[in-house]
Amino acid sequence: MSSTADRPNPAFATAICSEEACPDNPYNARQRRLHGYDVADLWRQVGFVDALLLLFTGELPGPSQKRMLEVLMVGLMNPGPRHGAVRAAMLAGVSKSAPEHLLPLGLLTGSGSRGGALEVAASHDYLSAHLAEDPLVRARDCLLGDPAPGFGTCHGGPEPIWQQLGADMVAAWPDSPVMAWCDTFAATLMRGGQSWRAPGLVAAAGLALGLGPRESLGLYQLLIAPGVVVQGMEQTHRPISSNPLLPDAHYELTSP
Amino acid sequence: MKDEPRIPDTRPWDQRRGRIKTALGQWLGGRDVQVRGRWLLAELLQELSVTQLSVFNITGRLISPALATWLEKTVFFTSYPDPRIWCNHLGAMAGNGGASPAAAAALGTLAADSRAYGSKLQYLTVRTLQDLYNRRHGGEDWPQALAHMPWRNGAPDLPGFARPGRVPDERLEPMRRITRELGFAPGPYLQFVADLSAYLIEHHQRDMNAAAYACAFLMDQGFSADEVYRLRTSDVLSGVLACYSEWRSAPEDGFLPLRCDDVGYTGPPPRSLL
Repeated sequence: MSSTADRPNPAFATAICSEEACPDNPYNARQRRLHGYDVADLWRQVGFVDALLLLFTGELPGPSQKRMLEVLMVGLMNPGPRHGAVRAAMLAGVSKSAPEHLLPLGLLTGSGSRGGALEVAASHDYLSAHLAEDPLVRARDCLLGDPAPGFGTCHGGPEPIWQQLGADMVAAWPDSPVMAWCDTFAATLMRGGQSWRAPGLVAAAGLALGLGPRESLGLYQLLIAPGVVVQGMEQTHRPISSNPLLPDAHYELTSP
Repeated sequence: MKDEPRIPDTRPWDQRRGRIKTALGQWLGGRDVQVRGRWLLAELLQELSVTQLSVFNITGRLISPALATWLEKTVFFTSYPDPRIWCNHLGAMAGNGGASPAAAAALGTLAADSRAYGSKLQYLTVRTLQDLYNRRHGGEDWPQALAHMPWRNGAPDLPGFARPGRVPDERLEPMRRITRELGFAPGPYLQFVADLSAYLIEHHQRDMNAAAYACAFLMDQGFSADEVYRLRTSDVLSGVLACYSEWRSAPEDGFLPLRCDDVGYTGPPPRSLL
């Protein structure tokens, strides 16, 4: 076999993961490190949320950071069958789409700027831009003008579950300046009938943890993924007739 | 601002609950399908090509056969079966990993939804050309108009004016020829992009690429940025699926395998948990 050592192999550079090759096979790793830590030490000695935060931030978290993310993870792990991402996976599941596609198609459906992943990034940008301002003044401006991304209403009003989740996230990490700012901001918005939306919760958490808008967007997708999977897979076991087409009587075709 | 509880007005959702109202179309089981006021099987099947039907579905416009041919021919320029190209690379990886062709088609299309190339780039190009066109016709000269654009390395960084490796775009001349042969005369946007290109070549050594030309042509045909985005979304599909097909039969991990030391590491040195 000819040597391949002189072949350029365009690949990636990363600051996150390093792998040490087996002495007898350069394609297999005998050790993998995440931000410098041996992944075997991590699985033996720390929990999933610690390792997840290490992966995202580069450092193991403090107790408040960890607790706040745990609260958010449980709060978002199933955003419910009416959420676009979950609903899409359920519809595809019952219509017998290939099961391995349910999570990706659900996440894609929930990737948009209206309640989806792109709203997380927009909310992160918004919070970053206004964090130095008085949250009371900023909230009053929002009530008089356009809602801030990640905040506002759901179906005409605040959705209480997101208010409760926001309050519990703040309580989990009360000395976070970002969370404290958002708490005041959301409470002031509430006086005008607005509050947290789910993307705002992830944007605030991401900003508080030092993540960028793109990483926060990805965190949102990761956090809603369990609900997308289980709700979608549940439907794959049901007959296609359990979710019939909307009857003609409820379908109105108007003139183009 | 009041502290009194508000009762949300849910009427906009109540009106839409359990009901679809649309002007787009309707499947009438056992009979035919309405598409924007036309019968799909009784009329359009005889009258339209696939591309004409696609444009009609997406935009509501019935385009000429010549314009449909132009759209079909320009897919030749966006679907090279070379697995080094990013979306095709993913198609090859999907094939080599045993994913389904639908997964490859979807991920290739998603990969090409990129601000660097593909459908999103064309959306951004139309928006940029429209902005520059409006500024020039609003009285700004080239330096003034271009000052509003992002700059990189001392030159305007415009979508539609970049090329990997800064090589000349081999697609431009064939695209111009096809446009001429199909009987299209340059409209105001094609003339504008030619003027912009001449300015950028003279002052910044930057020529347009095929995306700028194609976008200007489509703007001359009356398409908006959103319509171009929607029409061009699947342009890379055949190249992606070509690469998928070839690498589907290769051995596992057979597409550009990576050794551990092929990935560079720039993070913190090894450390231990306390």
